[in-house]
Amino acid sequence: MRLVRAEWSRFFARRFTRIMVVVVLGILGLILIGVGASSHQPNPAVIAQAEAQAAEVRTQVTAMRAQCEEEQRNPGAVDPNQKQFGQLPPGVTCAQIFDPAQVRPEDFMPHVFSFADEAPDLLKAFGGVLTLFAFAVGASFIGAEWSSGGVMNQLLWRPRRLRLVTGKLGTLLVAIATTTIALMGVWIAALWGLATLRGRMGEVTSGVSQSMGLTGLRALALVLAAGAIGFAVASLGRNTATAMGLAVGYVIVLEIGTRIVLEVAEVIKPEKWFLSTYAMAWLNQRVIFTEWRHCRYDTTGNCQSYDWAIDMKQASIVFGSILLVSVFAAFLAFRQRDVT
Amino acid sequence: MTAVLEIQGLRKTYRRRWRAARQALDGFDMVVEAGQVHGFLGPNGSGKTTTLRTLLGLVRPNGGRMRLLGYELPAHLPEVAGRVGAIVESPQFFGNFSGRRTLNLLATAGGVPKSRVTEVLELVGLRDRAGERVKTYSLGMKQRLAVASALLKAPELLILDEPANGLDPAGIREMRDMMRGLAASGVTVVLSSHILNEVQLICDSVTIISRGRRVAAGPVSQVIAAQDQGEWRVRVADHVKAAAIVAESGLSVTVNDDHFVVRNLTEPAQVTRTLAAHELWVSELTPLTPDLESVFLELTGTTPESGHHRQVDEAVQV
Repeated sequence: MRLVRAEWSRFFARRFTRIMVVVVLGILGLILIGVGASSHQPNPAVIAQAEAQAAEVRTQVTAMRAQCEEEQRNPGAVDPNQKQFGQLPPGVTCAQIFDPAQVRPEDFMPHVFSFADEAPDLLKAFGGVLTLFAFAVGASFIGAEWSSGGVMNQLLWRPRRLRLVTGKLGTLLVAIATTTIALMGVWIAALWGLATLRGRMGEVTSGVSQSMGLTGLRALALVLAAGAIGFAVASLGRNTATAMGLAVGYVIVLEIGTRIVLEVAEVIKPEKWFLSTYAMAWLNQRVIFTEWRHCRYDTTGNCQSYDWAIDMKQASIVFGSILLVSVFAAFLAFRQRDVT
Repeated sequence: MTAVLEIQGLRKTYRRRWRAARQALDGFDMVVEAGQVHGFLGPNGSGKTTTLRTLLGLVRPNGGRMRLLGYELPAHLPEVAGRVGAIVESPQFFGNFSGRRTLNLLATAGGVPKSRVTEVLELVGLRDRAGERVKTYSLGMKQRLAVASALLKAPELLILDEPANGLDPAGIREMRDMMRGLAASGVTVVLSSHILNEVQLICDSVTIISRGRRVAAGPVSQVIAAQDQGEWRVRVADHVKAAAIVAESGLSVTVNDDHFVVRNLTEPAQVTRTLAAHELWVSELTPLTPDLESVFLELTGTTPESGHHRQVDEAVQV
């Protein structure tokens, strides 16, 4: 417990942590300013005009639905030249295609920030930013200790190495979780404030709240995994630069370089080779890609593009494996290596 | 007396990727008795720091036995770590923390009351600079901070690797006084240093290591006396002729620029008598009592030779 107290104090006293928190707040602030700038609070005249347009479109949609249903009911009774819809695919109804309730006045107004519609996606963006923060802070937390001789000093006090490294990693994760939750609260409050001042709340149903809650939890899990991986890689290399270099190298060589090569070579499903895909899949529960380079032939012999997806289960396997391997290797090295 | 530190046959080989393995310790032995200030001497690369690191659990030995405060190491190191204060090699601290915060963090992790931090800062002379960032400290101040961190636990055994490194003359003297004070209060001090006149002044006993093996050990006076070859410096007007005469009388003589040295001389009057018989009058007859530095250089085979650039691994291996 004493070690946890000391590490906790060290985490928040470190200048790097404070700078990174300021950087994160800066990035989130810029996103907020961008969203706020693109949001236009409608005046009553704009709202009235949008409602009138929506009502007009609803009438058109209702009429089209009626015609569609008539064509489906009596296909032979309608003049072939007047037919607009033909036979619908099995399981698809006219009511699904032409639903007047889907026509909303918001669709006819300039962009208005809607908390209910946009906050979930902005929470995912928050998760992405915090993931980078956690990786850097986690790497620096142990990397600076190694390079400054702090680990050696602590080993002179606490020779039980596994306990020391476990205490350090555990405290780091609790500190990152605390920081993330606090910043997430600030972020949601800021979006709430933005909706109140320059947008609208929209329909914040229990479903939206629950979805945001789950997205927040998934973001937190990703952030913690990134922190632990950063910690592990920096501990293996005994300095922060190892982890940061690996991260930058990964982005340049794989995320950019290899992506270009795979696309030029027209490799099938290239997205499955990149961690960013799995991060998106984790935050979104699933990401769907359309494969158009290597089409599938349908029964009529036409080349059709097709969709494929990566879901959060696959993402959890990828990140879980990286996490386990890196942390296990770091702990093993910490326990065995000569501190010279 | 009770031995607080015992090492027998300690071996350590550093295995390095793509390079040949290097044997740092090759059956090294060492004993330090309680309450002593013990000097641990050796040329660069002789294995001093490896020995200290191995004792403190930072490096894994390949063989041998170690006991610290009566406990077998490394198995029981956690039980004695709280009673041993140490600084190993150059002091390293996180530069952006102040000296006080650095010690506070160590004290918090080690369960030491904060009041002890103030005490040790006062003791090492950093009281008024404790609030400044460590990266603004001079080497000597960092050294003082390192000593403060080692003293934080109020240790029974204090291991100091080059504690005078970077200290100003006053700091060296303060360090010496502090070590004497600690030894007087019952703390055993193991001091590794290259400032041999300091070691001779402070230490009760020494161990000298060369290329991973012990070449001498014991009370300082005994180690020096063991190397005393009964040498006398003789100055006389025609020292070459005089040296030849003394050599003819059966004594071992070495001729230098303006004097000669007689070795294994038990009765100095023999020289004056012999030379006087040839009407050569001695102007100086001085015993060449070795000091720790000359003994060290002799035992480790590291005496500088004019025109020869000695390499780090060129030392005596026993």
